[in-house]
Amino acid sequence: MVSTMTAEVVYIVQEFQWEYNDEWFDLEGDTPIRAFVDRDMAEAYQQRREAEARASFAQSGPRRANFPSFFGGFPRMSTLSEAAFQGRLQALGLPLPPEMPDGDDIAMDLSDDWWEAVWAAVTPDLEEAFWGLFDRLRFYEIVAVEVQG
Amino acid sequence: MSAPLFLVRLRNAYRWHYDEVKDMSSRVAAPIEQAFRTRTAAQAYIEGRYPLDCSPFDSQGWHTWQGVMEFSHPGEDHQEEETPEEKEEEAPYVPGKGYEVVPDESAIVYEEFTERVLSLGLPPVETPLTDANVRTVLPAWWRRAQPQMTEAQRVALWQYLDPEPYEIVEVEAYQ
Repeated sequence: MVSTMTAEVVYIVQEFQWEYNDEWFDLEGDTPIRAFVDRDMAEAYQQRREAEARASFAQSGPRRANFPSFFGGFPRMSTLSEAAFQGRLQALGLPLPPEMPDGDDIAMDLSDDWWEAVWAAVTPDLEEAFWGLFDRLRFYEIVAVEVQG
Repeated sequence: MSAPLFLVRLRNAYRWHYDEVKDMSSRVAAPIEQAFRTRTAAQAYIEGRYPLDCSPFDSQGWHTWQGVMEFSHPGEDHQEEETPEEKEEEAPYVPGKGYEVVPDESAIVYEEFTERVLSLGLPPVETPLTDANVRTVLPAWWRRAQPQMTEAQRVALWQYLDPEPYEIVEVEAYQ
């Protein structure tokens, strides 16, 4: 007889710890904070906490400061290529970063002036999409784990 | 409705990715290894992973323990393989102090360790245990004592790893 028993899976919501190293914020660890049997419940909880964390982070000062300078450069914040990043900005109707001299790219920096300009253009309905450009900058994640015993 | 769940995971300090890259793109994807409904089951799982035939007090035991952890996380990035010379240069484990190149001069943890050894019913450690002799005394003591050690005694010694590579994190599971 073929067993139809499967291990129960739970969905753990983990909180990331970002710590300032005197130059930028580094991902230093993660802490499991809550588990859910239902994935949808886990996602709803994670999204709510993520939104709260973003709002708190934005209000605490760095929103107007240059995010990439706080997180050690654009590649540490996003998996997007320069071309993809610019394409997404364009699609959102947001200002593009100034053109870099030959040989340089946005991987090194995004200017404070551009950052100011782009945030001024990010309306509340665009915030979610704008944060989505920085897919490595997260405060929470969901991990699926099998329960034993 | 919720119930407690006990997660076994590598401690952050043992995830080399954080030390080397500190970049979310290369962090451990699923550092939680197992989840259990009871703390007892979680603890038993951890104890079952100790390389009990190896000494926790020399680099061989430590590297075996690393091997156990690597086996449990296949496909991840690892530190480059060390040369035999590099391995020999490594400091042994110091109870209560971790793997320090220069052990702390404090003797208090050594006293606690020698008392703990006696409380476990094991042969006494040569005393006084000091920073100067700990690297030779403990490995030698292990070789002398280990043939008679029970599994429970070996487990107790491995638990002197400070911190233990694995930890149990309790969370509430909602349904």
